[in-house]
Amino acid sequence: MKKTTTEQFDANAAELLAQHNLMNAVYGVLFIIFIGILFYLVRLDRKVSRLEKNQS
Amino acid sequence: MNVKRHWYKWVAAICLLYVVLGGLFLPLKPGITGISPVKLTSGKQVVLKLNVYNAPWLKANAFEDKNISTTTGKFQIPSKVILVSKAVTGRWETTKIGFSGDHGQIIASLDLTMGRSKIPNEYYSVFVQLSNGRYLGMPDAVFLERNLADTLGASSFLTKSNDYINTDRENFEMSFPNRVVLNESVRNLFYHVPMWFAMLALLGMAAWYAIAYLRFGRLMDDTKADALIRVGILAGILGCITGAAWARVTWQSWWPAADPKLNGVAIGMTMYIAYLLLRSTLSDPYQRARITSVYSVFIFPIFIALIVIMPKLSPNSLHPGSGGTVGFNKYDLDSTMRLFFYPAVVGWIALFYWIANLRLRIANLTEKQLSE
Repeated sequence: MKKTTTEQFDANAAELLAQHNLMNAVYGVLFIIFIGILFYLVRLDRKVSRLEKNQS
Repeated sequence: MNVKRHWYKWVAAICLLYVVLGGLFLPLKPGITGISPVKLTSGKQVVLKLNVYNAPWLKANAFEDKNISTTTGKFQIPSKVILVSKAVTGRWETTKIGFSGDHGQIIASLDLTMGRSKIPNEYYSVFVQLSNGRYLGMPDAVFLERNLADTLGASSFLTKSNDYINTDRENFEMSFPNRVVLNESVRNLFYHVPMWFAMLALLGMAAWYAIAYLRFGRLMDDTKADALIRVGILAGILGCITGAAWARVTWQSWWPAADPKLNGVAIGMTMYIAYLLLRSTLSDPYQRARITSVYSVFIFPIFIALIVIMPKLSPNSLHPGSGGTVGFNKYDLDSTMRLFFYPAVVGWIALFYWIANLRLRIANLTEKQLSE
């Protein structure tokens, strides 16, 4: 079915409204950094535990 | 707690608290985020629909301003929509304008008659003039084509000039610039970019300690270099993943392969992962220290060349500051961004240095236990 010009126009406008809030990208990036650093800290923690075990 | 000994930890904590809070909660300046339709034909009345993000004429702003004035303060209304092109002398302005106070929408009517004037088919930048005389702009946003029937009469240009329209605010405000495509994600400048600064700083320090090892032959320097490289690689991996996530929403691709910076980083990261492999294959500590020190002193300048110099020489890159694009420091990085970007770089470097220091102390303890 061919869309009339007005219908198309409204569809475009709705699309325009929906996009362009990119705040989630910022939360995502902060989350990735947090998880990455946490992952590395857990690895360091394991190393320290091994050292403690060897000492006793 | 001894502040003198732990100074960089304090720097990391204070800078990052400031950068994360400020970077998340400061508002974004208003900006045009969408225009429809983008292809216009001349010779008739055209209705343009514009979407404005954080529009200054929303009802919420009106309630905040006790003495509502449309020329001063936060509450401003759109007074004109203007189409300007560098290739055309003259500009089109709205004949009628409407806007919604609930959403940042503008409905602008323009009479686009080219008539007998020799006006080429061109891309036009769209500007919204606010009631206080400031502008919001979107560069090269619409394409205007001559209708074959539109050859008679005079053109409907309202003014003949196409003077430069300055969209930058003249007085300083604590808010981040609203760039086309980037929108809110401009804040990632404080989180994604410093990952690379931290990686470069740590790898640079590692190269310094590698040189020190080669000069003085102390194993201590080699252990330091190794810890710095490992945490530098962590920063690099985080830079890659955060960059991919950011690229997905702005450049529509996880890894735009045509970008010279990304290709350089891919090669550079591989060189440093090869360092880890090389180190794991050698068991004699002195031989390991000598070979990996030479390797890391050798690859650091190549890494700099790959991720800093090559993208600058390349004719096109999506990254700002390299190739055909303009750097953040030229006009994208305004004074509010600077207030957060520099502390972000310092804070993230200090944080990763702190982690590297932990890694170093663990390595020293392990060696001590092994020798006992």
